[in-house]
Amino acid sequence: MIYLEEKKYFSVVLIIVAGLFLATFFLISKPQILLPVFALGFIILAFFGAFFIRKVYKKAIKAEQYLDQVISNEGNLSITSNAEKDSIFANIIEELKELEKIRQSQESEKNKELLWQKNLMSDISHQIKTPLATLEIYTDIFNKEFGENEEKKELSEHAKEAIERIRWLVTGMLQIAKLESGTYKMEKKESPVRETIDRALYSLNSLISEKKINVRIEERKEENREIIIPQDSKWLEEAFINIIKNALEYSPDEGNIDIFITDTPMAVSVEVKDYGEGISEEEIPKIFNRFYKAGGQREKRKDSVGIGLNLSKEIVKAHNGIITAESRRGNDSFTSIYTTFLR
Amino acid sequence: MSFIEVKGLKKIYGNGESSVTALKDITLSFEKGEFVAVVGSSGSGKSTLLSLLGGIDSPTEGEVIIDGENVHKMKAGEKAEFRRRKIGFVFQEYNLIPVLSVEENIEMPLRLDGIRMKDKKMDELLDMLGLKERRDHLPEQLSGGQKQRVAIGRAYAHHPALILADEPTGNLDKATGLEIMALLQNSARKFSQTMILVTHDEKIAAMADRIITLSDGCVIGDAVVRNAVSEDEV
Repeated sequence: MIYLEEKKYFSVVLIIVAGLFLATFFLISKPQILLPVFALGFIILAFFGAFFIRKVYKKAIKAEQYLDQVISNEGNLSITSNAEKDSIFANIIEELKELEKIRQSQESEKNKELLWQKNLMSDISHQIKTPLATLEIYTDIFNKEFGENEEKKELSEHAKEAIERIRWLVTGMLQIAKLESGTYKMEKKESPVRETIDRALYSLNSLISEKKINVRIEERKEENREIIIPQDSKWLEEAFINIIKNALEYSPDEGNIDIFITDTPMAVSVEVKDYGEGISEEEIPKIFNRFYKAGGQREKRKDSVGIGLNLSKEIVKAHNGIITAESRRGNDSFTSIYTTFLR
Repeated sequence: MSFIEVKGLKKIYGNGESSVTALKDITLSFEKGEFVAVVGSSGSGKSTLLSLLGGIDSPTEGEVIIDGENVHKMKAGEKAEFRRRKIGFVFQEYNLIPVLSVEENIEMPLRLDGIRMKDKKMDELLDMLGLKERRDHLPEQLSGGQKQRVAIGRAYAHHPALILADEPTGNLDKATGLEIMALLQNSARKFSQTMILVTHDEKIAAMADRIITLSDGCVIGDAVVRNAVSEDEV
């Protein structure tokens, strides 16, 4: 490949050097002139060289800045102007642009696939919701019709619970599909974490009073101000509902649940702790998997569909946060789910 | 070919009767962007594995190939340079240089390559690490969590493709440990870095995509934590 601009500079350098040689040849007999001519020649050469190096260096910096942008994904691809078309760095940048285009098109292919998946999920869930609503109405009617018959009444109650489970599953799957496809943009605003947790507790009120659970909240902070994180509070509330619901399901009746909100310089950590029978060490990494239910209580927890913690994980991830768990079995058993968000 | 290939890795410390076998024939591979936790009791060989992966120590047998380059076949100088450019280390002991400021500690690996970090970049990094007000402080003026954040800054200054961490939260309280993990993971996700982390903390291991269990210098467990469980587990 020929890079005209670099070639141009190179030719000028060659001419100057050649000029100096010629001068040597003609002026060899006049040493008193030779020295100043040489000095002048070298000064010109040095000036020109410095100019050339500066120019090349500037271009190298531009190329580096471009790479930087690609890496940090700012995506601004318009850097070179026409004047630099034939420079080697301009060519490197052009090739990088090509590469970036290829990468982007691959990414958009992937996004198309995810979007298709999400649309499919959304279609399926809407199609399921309508007959589900009908089923719910019928079971209600049956329930009233059966009146005195306890056995039939119980069966219809079971049917209603099953319908509720399907609804929960369908809604959860749809939300996960939305998050994974990236079609949902989190709208994050700085707001107190405590408010979000309180709202989550409010939605779980009936379950809490049904099991007579005592929920305690403790904020661990140095200064007396509210603990704030950037959050899409609707989504984060959903995540906390699922985490606390999980703790409620594992708790014995009339048990305690502790929620600790800890403020550190860079992050906010929320621990939700129940004092149920605990999860074994091998199971802990799996509890955030889709459709996973911890073995010990699988039979007892018929109302769970194993999607809640997976959804929580996706939501926390979308908040640049991490989710993890710790548990003990035996005496003083507990399970803690930690979510940590950078400020 | 995987991003990292470990083939028949063996490490014996000492020789003759007093020799100790730390690793026995380990073969593993790691993909780009993977977050792997290495667990096992103390003396199981997990820290040895990490130092062999990072080219800090040389194996008795076997090889480590990172991004197509055979780490232990390099000359000492090449190896040091490779380490500096491709790998970021985070240790339990923060290993900061006591006479250098926060900023200078972070810039250290780049300086060794004769590169100065641009002010804008340094500002961004310090901001991300919450160390903006402490840029001129010396390590002794910092808390444990802050020191570890400086160490993370140093490990990330050159955007390495691989992060090796040995009990990075070992000396920190629970909440600060989680904060450090959130920082590590956030950056790893952003730049799709491979992160291999040695820990005995189940909380930390539970965050990983894959958990490798070592015992007596052998791999006794290698579990990928998938997003969906297989049918027999449902």
